[in-house]
Amino acid sequence: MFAKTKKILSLVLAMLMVASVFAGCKGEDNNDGNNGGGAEGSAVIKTLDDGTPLLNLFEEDNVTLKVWGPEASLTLLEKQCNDFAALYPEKTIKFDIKACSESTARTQVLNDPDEAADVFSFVSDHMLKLGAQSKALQAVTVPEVVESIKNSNLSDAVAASYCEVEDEDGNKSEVMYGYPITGDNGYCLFYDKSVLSEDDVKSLEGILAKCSTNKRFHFNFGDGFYACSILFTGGMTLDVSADKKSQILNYDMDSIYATAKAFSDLVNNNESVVSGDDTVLTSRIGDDIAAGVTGTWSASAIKAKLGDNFGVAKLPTIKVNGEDKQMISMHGYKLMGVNIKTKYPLTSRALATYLSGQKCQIERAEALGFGPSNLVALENDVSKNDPVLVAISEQQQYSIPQLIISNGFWDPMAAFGQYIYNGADQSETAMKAELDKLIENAQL
Amino acid sequence: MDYLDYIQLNFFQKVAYKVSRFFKKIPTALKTFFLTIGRAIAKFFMGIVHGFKNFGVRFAKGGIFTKLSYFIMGIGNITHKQIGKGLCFLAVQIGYLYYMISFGAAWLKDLPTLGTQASQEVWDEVRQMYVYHEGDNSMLILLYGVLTIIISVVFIALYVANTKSAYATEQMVKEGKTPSSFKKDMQDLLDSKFHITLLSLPTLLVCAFTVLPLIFMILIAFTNFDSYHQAGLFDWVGLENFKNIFYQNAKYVQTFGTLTKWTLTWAVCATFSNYILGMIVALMINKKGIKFKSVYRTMFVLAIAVPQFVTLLLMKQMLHKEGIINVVLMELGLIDKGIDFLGTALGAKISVIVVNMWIGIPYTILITSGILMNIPEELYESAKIDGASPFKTFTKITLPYMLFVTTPYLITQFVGNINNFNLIYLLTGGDPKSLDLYKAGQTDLLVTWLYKLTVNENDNNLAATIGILVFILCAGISLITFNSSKSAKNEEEFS
Repeated sequence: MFAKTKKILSLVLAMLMVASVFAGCKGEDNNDGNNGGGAEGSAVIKTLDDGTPLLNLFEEDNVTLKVWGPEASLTLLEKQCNDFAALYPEKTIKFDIKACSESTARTQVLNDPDEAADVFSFVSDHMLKLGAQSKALQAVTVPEVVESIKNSNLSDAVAASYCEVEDEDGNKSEVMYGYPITGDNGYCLFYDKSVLSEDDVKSLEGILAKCSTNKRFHFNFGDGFYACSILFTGGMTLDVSADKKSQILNYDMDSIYATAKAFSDLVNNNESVVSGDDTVLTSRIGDDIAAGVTGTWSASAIKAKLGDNFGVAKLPTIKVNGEDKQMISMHGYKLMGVNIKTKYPLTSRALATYLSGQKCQIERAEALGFGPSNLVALENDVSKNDPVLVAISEQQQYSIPQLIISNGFWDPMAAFGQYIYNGADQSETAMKAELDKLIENAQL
Repeated sequence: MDYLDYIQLNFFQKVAYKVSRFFKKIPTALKTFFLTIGRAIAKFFMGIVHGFKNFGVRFAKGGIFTKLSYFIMGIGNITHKQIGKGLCFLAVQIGYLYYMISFGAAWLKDLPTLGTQASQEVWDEVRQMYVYHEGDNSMLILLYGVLTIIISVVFIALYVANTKSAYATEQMVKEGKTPSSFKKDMQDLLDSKFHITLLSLPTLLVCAFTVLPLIFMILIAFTNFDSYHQAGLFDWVGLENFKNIFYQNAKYVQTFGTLTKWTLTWAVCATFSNYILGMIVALMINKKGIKFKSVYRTMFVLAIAVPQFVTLLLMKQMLHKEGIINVVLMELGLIDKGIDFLGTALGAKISVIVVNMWIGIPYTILITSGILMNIPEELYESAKIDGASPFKTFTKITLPYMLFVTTPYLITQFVGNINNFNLIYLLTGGDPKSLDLYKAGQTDLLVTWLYKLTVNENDNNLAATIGILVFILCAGISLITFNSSKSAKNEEEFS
């Protein structure tokens, strides 16, 4: 009798084990987009007040769109999405809004395109991978939208939204894949006015003269996004190979060596330079850091720390062989993209068009301090009066546009930055050997 | 050389003798190893040949219904009074055919090519857009193809069982016996064959959720499923990935070599530093005359109470160039400028090993102090009477005793350290970066490199290849060390 109970018990346990395996499975959603339907009409319904075209959704209805945006923008994003839905009173459009930073969106989308967002924002250097290599984006095809984006945005932002693709016959064409939303993905100098004056921040030498171990200068040498400015200042420019797989660096070895050497001398003869990520700067500026290089995303935190002493300027100059050279930065854009596997391609592209429009860009500048890429929005008072956006756009004249960057570019740049900051041997032969390796690796 | 000769040698001679004996044993060991493997393979193939032979013999010797059941499963049983069992076999056959026709065959057909139809976009003039038509998805083809193969193997096993059963019942009827009824068979499943009832479903699910993904992952190592083939289609490339890692692609070769060396160095240092230091601390706590033993033990164990990742992230902050450790050292006047512990390759490597000690030693204390308390006191007493020094007692009594019990623990620790993702990823993230390595830093282990390749770069094929190599490394080391350890060889000796 007892043995039987035991058997039944073990059988039940085995079944439970089996059941638990299925616990993770979920029912399949069964709301295919209607591919049939024959609603006629033109692709554009009308042009909104701010010049953005409002697109026809045709037969799509009862739509739930997944939208990804950076954490800080979620509240505004939700409001903007609802504004968009209100433009189509006869349709039911719902949103599932989640946080996903622009820099990780690419990985998330490529890892599982079927589960990824329908509409998401990403940084412009990921265009090559998302658009040309992985074909994960829906092209912008409505002529009115293409025209509107072309005419109303900064020319580099427009260039960033294009990608060259090759069809089966080997014909190459430039296709627009992205909807520009910001034009401020660059960095500039933030400083503590109680330590540094406007004159001091014009040159690195001026800044470091006032800095000490209690008032440091911060620069993130361990991140390729910042570290590449060492080479850009030395005159390097970027291209991409014909097969779109590797980077081409145009450079003059003597010039990049001289600049790298100048940085190395400044860093290694100065106790006050500190490297670390953005949180190091935002948490310590005003305490033992007097100035640092970062972008708009850190601006509000720094403002909160410094209060009235908040200062911001374009990047300083650096003395190379006795000559003042302006530091050259990388300047990128952020774009909206539509997932090619979306179930609702029409609604998704309409939303992306709307979100990249002038009105939404101004709202983002007002609420979040994100610098617009839209020309009218750039002339707006908000953008004109925000010292950070002014400094960023001033620095933009001395920048390399972050257009097509291959996958292998960032890590070597970061490794070289770490070498400048930490490397044991900074002699000419060692540094040139490192530079050779850098060039070789970044072009992989 | 017999024992008497051996103990008369001095220390260096003993070591030399042991080393030479180790090398002398290698050829025999290798010979035994290959012979065993050879025998196993031969046995396996003989088994298959035997199986085929019997399969044919049964067909030749069996009656008409047995012959028929080679084509329609279960006929042999149905006609020999085993209707229930026969119907089950029939159901299996129908089910399999239905599966293959409706689902499996299509995936199996695509498996050799992994799909050929690329996704297409067709221009829709009215909607002004390209309508996306999904093409073949190589990943799904691979997954379902493997699933179909597994199901087919199970089916073949059942099919052979069907022919056996048909033949057996026929023989029984011929001999005038009554084949067991369906009810009896079912009752057996709850009684003498209860293990089958109990384990069949879990086994099935282990196959579906563990074995299948594993095979799938291993197969990815033979494809070009990398960052350039994310759009749905990829292809078989044979051993290309392995060739790349071993000699074809200079960057991969260098990275793999450097990281393997560091992974092994790290695993050895991390395992033995924890083991030896932990044991020493445990010995000290256990020493006679030490008061408040449990207080000390608790103090060390408190380190375990803090979640590991919290500890690691804090340590990372503390080791920073302006971190608290540097500040303290500067305040004390020991150094005049901050040391960037994690900034240089050597510094970072030493730092991770030291931090790992802080995390790992409490565990060793816990495990070893229990064993230490178990060593019979008489052994120590007699050693003392014989005039053995404390060091001698340690090497001759404590250490052998400990090693005997903890060798399996040491092996798991070693393998665990080879795959110690947490520590490296949270403490250094693989940094400092290096221009000599491909997508890896100086302190990256093979696993963290694998992680970076999959998550950041989508180079799944390369990652799968590294995964296989890491597995071979771990399995090889574990098997060799465990099988040559005392605890595996003579279990009874433990007393």
